[in-house]
Amino acid sequence: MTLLEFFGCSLISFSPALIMFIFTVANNPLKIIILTCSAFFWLLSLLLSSIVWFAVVPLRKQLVFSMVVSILFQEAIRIAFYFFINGGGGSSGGGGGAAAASSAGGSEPLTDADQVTLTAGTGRPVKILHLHSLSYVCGLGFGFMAGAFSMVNLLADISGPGSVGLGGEHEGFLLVSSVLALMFVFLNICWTVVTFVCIEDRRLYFLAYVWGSHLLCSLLTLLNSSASPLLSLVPIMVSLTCALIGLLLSLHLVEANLAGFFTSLVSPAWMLRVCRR
Amino acid sequence: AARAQSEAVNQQQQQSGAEGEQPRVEDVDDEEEDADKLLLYGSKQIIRLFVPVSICMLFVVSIISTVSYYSSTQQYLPYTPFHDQTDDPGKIAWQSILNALIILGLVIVMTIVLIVLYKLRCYKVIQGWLYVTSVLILFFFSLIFFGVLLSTLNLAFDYITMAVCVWNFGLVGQVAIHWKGPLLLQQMYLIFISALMALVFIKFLPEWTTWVLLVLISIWDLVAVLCPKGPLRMLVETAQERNESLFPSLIYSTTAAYMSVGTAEQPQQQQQHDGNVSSDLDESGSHQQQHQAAAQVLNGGGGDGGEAGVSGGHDGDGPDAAGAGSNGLRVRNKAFHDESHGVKLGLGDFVFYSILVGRASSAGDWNTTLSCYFAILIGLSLTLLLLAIGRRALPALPISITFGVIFYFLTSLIVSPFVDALTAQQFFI
Repeated sequence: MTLLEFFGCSLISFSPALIMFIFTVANNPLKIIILTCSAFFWLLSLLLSSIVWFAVVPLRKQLVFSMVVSILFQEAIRIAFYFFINGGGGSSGGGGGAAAASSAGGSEPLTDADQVTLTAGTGRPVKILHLHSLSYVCGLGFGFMAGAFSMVNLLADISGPGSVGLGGEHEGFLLVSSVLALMFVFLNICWTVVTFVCIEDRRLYFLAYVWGSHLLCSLLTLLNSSASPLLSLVPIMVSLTCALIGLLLSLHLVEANLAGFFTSLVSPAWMLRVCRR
Repeated sequence: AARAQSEAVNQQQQQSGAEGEQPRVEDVDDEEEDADKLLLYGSKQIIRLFVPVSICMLFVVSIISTVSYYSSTQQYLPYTPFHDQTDDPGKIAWQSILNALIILGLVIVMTIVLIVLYKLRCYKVIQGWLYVTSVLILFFFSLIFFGVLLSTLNLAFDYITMAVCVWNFGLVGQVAIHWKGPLLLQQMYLIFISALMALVFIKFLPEWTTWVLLVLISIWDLVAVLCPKGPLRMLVETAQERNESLFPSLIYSTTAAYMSVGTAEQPQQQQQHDGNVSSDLDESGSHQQQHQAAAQVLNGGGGDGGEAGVSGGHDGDGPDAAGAGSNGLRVRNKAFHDESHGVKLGLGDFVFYSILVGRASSAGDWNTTLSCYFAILIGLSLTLLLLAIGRRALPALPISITFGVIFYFLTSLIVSPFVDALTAQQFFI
């Protein structure tokens, strides 16, 4: 019973991320490294926000304050990661974009156009991974880490004896947590794609969507604290809506063909492309 | 062979140069393509190490969290005489420092003995020593491990079946590690014994001693490999002078370690060393031997960046050693298709990474475990990056262990309470 719940909850939270990892990231070593890097950066942002929480002793019980601070740090780290990965102008080496002709990242349906912008004139190197797949991978890393940190202790507790409410909570406690973790994984992907593409194209007003929806979804989870499980539907539904909006926005920003994207998700050609690798 | 390759490349380059201005873009193209291939190749090597390190850590963490034998410390090794159960921080501090210093002293003594033996060419002695230690691990420690695992799973097993199983297991392990065997089997056994050693250490070392020991060992690693008079550096250089491989089985290698390409210099020596290596890991002392080999990570450490001459001597490094000077990138493209040189990481590094993560998980907090894991991975990537840039023997421990230890303490003291407070009320950030 407990193991069943353990697997159920962990798969609710992480199976989409796992599948995305297996099909789009696992076959490209560079992407795996970037994923690890981005997960680490999220960890750094969490570290910074915990330090703030720890330092501001009187407000330790008022988690709202530290949540807002944490959100700010996360967004700041997201932007910082963009500059870290892109080397602030394309210097080669290490984590930056080394020169490349071919695209290594055409493995997900989003990037149909693998543009090679070779600036041979100035000799400036070009990204080895297209920015879109780069941002997607980073988002996956961020999201995975965010979900993991909120779920992993819970999952460990579930696999022991006795669960359901896990300490006097309502019976939907675990389900709500898992679903919210899932939502936040998706949301992180969308936010990261939008952020990266925005900064690249210098259309900074879309960042308002990212910051706004992050604050909204996160602060709505404050409603979870009440004993009524139905109230938890609000953050879940709102997060779902934000995730869908985010998905459409990111697709719009990367100029993907929407119809093509959705059909590629279900068409055999996509499967064939994956299997061929 | 290497020289011939580079000459062919020279001709190629001259030809392309003769075509005039037009290839300018192509040159940039080619350079970029080379750099691209280099980056992809480098990242491939990094992943090839991520996987076994992760498997080892996962194994250790799962055993620690399920088998209570390894997470409880009742007995102690004779090397850690100070292990009072006390809460006084001062006492804990000096006791753990003393314990760690004793163990470090042991490590240093062992390393020096090894180097003396190696310099005096007492290969048989070293070989015997390594054989004995791997027998110890593969038979006795494995027997205890399986016994404890069975008791945790509450399975009944008779002694006769157990004897047969452990005998087979150990013997196949010996063959796979010291002699020839499928690469995957060898890798699996190496991971298994590293994990087992880590488990033994976690069990027998007092908690704070573990942390101090980790720090001291990484400092020692740094000193021993980088200082001009450092023992491990001397070991590596002696091996290079003699054109011999350096205990191939003490190292986890991602490709078959017994390629004869480019090592034709001294086939007899090579033969000797084929059997020479082993995965000793008896006491922490021998972990050091792996660090020298930890050096030969990525493109075969010392052989790389050398001239187009035949430098051979290192397992499977032949074609790669041709990556010289200006022709470096070009020639290496050819070498890419070879895949005959892999990445090598010393088993001691596996052990210490697993000790760190295992100790982090024995506290029961999975956030800490996760953050230590990622810290170690990032440290490993940085080390490999430095190796690709520096192209010389590098210690694999310091950066990862530093990151790991820092993140352990920061996470367990500051991040965990924060995250626990959030998840208890289902607030998501």
